[in-house]
Amino acid sequence: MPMSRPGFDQRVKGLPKLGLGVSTEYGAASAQGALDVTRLRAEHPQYANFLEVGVETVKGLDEAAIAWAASGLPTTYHFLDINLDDPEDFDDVWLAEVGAIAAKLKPAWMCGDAGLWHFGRRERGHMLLLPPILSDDSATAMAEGVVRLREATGYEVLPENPPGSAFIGPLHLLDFFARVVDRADTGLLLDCAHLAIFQRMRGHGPLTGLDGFPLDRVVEIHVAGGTPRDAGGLEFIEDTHTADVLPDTWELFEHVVQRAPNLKAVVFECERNTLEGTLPGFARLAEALG
Amino acid sequence: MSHLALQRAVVRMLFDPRLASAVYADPHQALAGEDLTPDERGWLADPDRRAWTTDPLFRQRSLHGLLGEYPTSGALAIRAGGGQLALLRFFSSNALHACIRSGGSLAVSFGGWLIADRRFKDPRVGELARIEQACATLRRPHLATRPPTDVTLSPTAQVVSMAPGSVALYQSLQGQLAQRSDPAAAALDPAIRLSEVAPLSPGPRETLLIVARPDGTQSIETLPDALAQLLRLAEPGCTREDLLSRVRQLGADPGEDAEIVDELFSDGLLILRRAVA
Repeated sequence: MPMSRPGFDQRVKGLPKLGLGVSTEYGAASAQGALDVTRLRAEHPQYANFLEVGVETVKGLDEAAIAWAASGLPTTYHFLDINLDDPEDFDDVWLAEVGAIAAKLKPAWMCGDAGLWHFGRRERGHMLLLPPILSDDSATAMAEGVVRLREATGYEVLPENPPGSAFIGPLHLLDFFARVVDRADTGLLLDCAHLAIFQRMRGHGPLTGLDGFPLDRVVEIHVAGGTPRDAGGLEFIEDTHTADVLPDTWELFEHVVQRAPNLKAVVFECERNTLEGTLPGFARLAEALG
Repeated sequence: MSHLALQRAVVRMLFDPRLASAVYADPHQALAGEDLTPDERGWLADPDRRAWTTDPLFRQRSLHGLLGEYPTSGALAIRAGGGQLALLRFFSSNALHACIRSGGSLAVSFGGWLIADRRFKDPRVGELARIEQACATLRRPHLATRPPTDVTLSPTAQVVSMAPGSVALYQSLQGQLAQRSDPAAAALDPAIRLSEVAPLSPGPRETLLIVARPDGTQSIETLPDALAQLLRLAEPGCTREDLLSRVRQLGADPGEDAEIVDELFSDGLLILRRAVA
């Protein structure tokens, strides 16, 4: 009798509850004025239960990420270099590099922005980050990519809603990702700051679309500060990862966190700030998480 | 996979504000020939037009990245008149759009544009770009062609035709810019004066051999005419017999022909097709 693969409802029970954590990417720890995650862990361990490591395979892991992983502390693998909706992007060399890096990190899962990380081939000068095309066939392609990466690596893969300014396609961002997580039978990394950017750009209130979204799919949340900007009179929010989280983002976070039964992890993305400057944000996040 | 065609159009609109304006004026005409439905073309003009301008330094950052590989030709182009605007024209060029459409290499396409664009009055810009484009190509071995023949040029080697004096000029400018902490930024800053910007020499063009070293740098040497002919023959792909025949035409004695060809293989300049398949 053939065994059916466990669905998301079953698989999510096996994922560890990581709590509140912090993010980094290659070289971030050694940059001037950057958040010292080692010190944060030492002085405020409740704010640094895990490290989310942003990975471009061409760069690999920096010393801070290697040291964190070597100490046996939890990590997650945040990819920065895969266009999930493009089958040609899954080349063997890249997959082998991902496997080698994951073997060092031993992440709880993989996650990352489900958008356009690079145009053309993965090479110097082609890197950017754009949101996905918000259409039904794009959601199908994205879901296929999530499954492809999950099956290739053996890790759970959580797509994240990316930032952007020109959002193309007829779907609301949340409707798009509802289709992605349903078709890939996976969870979601909901970036509240990115969602606030989208809502503002489309002229919606912060919570628009959440009533129809399956919040039981939210496994991880990102919170970050943003900076209001102006482009020829168009007001928008730039995803600057400051420690000053905007009210729209807080409203989203506090709404979702109370309604997401499978939430396992929250990252405060504040890697370019002083430790002291991030403490109020961490405290508010910790309070909301109880 | 029309979402991928849409993504390519989005990238082109980000790079090229003229295309973005044309799409807003008439998306069906501006994107005629693209594999997009009428609805999809319309989607591209749905956001507020200003949403495409929220990152005003996007092209400047891209240019800075490109000049990391084209410091000497870029520096000369900027100082030859027109400043950075002369180079920012690339992002509205047919070369840029063809690159994005075809999934090509932005750096290699930029080099091709520098070489071919007739608006650079200083011929040294194109000559220096030939060297830098060859180096950019060597950094991307996946771009090596796979001719259906027995023998081809190694993906670690490039053969380039140059005006006399180009190498000395390239090395002089490269040396000056390399002294800066950020050579690309120095190239972009016309206030940084460059010395010994020698004119090209008269005379027939030379053939250069540029070879990628394991440490990521490149060696450059001028080839004797006979060797240049052999490597040029192998560049698009050829047979071993083609090479032996050419060596004999060039005056090799019987028996010496095979020895010369074998030496090109042992030097790593030529490879058998199965080695790159």
